[in-house]
Amino acid sequence: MASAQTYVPIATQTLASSAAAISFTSIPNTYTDLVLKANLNTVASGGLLTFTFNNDSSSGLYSYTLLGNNSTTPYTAAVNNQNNVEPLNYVNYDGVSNKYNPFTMDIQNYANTSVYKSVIGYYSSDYPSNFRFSEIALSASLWRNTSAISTITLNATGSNFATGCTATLYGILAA
Amino acid sequence: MILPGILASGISGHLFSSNYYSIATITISGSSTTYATFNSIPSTYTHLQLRYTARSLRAAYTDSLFVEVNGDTTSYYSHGMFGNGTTAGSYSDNGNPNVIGIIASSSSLSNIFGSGVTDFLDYTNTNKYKTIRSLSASDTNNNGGGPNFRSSTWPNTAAINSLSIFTNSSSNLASGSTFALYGIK
Repeated sequence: MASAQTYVPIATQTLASSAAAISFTSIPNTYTDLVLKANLNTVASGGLLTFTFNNDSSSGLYSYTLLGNNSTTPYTAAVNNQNNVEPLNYVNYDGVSNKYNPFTMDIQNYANTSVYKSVIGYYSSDYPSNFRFSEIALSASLWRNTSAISTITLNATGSNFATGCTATLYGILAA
Repeated sequence: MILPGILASGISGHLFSSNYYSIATITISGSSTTYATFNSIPSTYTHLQLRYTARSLRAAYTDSLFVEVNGDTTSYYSHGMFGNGTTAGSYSDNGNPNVIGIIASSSSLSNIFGSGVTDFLDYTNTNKYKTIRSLSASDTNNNGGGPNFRSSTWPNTAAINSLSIFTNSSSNLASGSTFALYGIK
């Protein structure tokens, strides 16, 4: 079997000031999979996270299913024909300013123009002041478009992403 | 400092490109392939990671994906959590082939494939049973599927030298399904 080294950081973004979105553009199509690892917070409480691909925010071609826990009972939800994916409940529920929460996306076959794009998302947060909105969330999402993904945009809704948020995009190349 | 436990994880931490190697990839063509099998897996890594995009030819919206280690068909102990939009549930499934994920199948729109990441930690360590962790995603736009989280044990201390992936329904894998095996040092 061949043994080729792979798993390459493509780009990293660190917010020097608050921003409504974090975007990766001109993503090369030379890898097999993408992995995006972000550490996120919003300026104010109630901030939400959504993501889109290739600036498609109006087609209604996104759907997603969630499995999570933000209380004593796990929840699930399936949402179809959306203009974006909302892979978790809150990035910042109660306004804690120095609490950043990790969110990871695995995007397999992102450049394959024969398949719709399937994404695994996972997120965790824990709030010292309000355990009810501590959360773990696992998401399955789908973009019903066969285009190669060249842009990924993380959007903050309800409040901007806070200074210090980081996001790194990796490319994985299969043999 | 590089922490092997973090390197092996698809969940948290950062992977380092100098420690992650592509071993082999299987791409399914045609409609008559039941098994995707990696044989003669080298023992030179610390962990293995399987990344896949797959679809079954089962006449349903979804199918389960199994893995057999070293040809062992029965000796697995596993638990899982799932959410399908209606039920957030869990299950145990002992003594059967090991489920690693839920994938789309023939009744789903033709371009929908499920995807997943499965980690095999310390796969060559002959003092340990093998722990397998899987995350998968298969949203089918309102036709079932969803996220699936699995943990399982193969209660055998043998080094893993082969992995065989197939569907629960014994249906064939759809053309375009891909399975990529990586080694992590």
